[in-house]
Amino acid sequence: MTESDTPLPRHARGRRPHFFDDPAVDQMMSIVLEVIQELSVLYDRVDAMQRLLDQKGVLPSSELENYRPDAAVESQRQRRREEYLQRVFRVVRRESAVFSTAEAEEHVRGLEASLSDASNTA
Amino acid sequence: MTQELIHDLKLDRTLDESARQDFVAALRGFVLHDIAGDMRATYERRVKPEITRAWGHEPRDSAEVHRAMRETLCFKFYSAMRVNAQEMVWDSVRDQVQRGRARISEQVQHALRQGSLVLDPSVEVPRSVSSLDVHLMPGNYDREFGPDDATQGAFYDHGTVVFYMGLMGRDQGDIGRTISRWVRARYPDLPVRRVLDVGCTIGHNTLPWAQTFPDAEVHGIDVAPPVLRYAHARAQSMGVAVSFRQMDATQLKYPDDSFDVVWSSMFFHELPLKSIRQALKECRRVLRPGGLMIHMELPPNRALSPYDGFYLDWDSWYNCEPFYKTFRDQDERQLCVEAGFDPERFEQHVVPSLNWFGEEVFQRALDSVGKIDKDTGRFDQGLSWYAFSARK
Repeated sequence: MTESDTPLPRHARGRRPHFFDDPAVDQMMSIVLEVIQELSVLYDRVDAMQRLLDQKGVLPSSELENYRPDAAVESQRQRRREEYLQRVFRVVRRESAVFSTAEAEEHVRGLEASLSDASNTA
Repeated sequence: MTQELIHDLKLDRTLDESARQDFVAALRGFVLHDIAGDMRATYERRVKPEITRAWGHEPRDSAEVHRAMRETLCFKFYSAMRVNAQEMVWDSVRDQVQRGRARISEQVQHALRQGSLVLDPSVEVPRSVSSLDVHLMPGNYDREFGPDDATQGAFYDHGTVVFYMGLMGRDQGDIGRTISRWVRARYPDLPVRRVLDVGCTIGHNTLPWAQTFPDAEVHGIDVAPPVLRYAHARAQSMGVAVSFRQMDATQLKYPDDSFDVVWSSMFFHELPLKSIRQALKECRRVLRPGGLMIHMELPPNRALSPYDGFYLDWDSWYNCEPFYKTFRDQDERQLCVEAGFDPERFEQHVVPSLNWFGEEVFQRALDSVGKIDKDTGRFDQGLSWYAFSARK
């Protein structure tokens, strides 16, 4: 694996704050926001497509309704859905990604040391 | 649409990435304007009267407002949405940066062969940087994925474009440009031959000083090599000459009396108080007699109402900026005096953003005394920058 293939970390180190009485609500909030985002992304793309198709006189909107994907298209769609789920459920996966490694424990020790420096001098 | 960067290190994005970034910028605008407005109204109309009855006094400071607000649903939603929007900023550029790393690396390699970047392996990255992901940016300023790596610089540059919602201009330099222009106009007696930017990251607010003062020699220092490499390549791509050096602001390696202006932007609030004190002493040491130290910052709590203090302190509690509140609780004049500056030569500035307000409002402000209010330093309607300064 070359250096530029190493996946960039997705999660910030440190404890993630929660604001609702049940932390599950905070996680649901994240998921909902991601879904809203993806819906907005999709809307922009569909909008662009419909306008271009219409502009160029390529596709009357009635034909869209009758479209069915073939196997190759379906497998591309499947891959996209998998990436989509990684994004939408990122918060659920965070705990194992961040807190299961020795690096994370080292991080917490470092953080506590920095914070105690700060409070000693404040 | 989320702005495109102006230089050659700009990374391509897909249609969906672009839409995702546009959405995150819109979400931040919505949270910082609408939801924040609702939260303020809830505080004034409901929470403050209720708490005043219960406690026998109004909330007196930022921490008391925080305590009063913490259980309200509006605070919970505001906070949950802001944390998510912050995480989504970085996530919206992650794949773009991942894909572009090989190209960035080539450009940085090329840039490293010319110019005057000086990295110093003896500089230890302080724990306040190495152990935190400030602003929830995964990897922070300093993480390196290999030799001569500049990934985190690219990550920061592309992410902050989304974060600032276009407020900083296409070169991201509004703060540096606004304040350097302010200094040029307000201090006509000050010859500006050498300028130092401490904690410069990718140099986005360093370069405007070289543009405002074309004859000046401009230096930028930071502790983190990845952002300095990126800063160096970025400055070359923009055709602006700046010397970037790896150095700790608390242990500058420049001789005494060697700069006319020592500057920083959004830097001091990321330092532990001990380092702030030491860095201010160092700023003074390298400044020549008569020189100007000026730091753009968020306004101090003592200049704000308890609610406005709480509103800004939110980032200290929830955006991984643990030293931000401690800094903003200080009396900056006192800090400058402790560092050896004359209290009579300490000043505070409120400067209208050139990018937001344009030239005319900026010119008018030159003749007036700025006032810190609830909008100072906030990314909302009517953007003004706060700075404090002292002369040696």
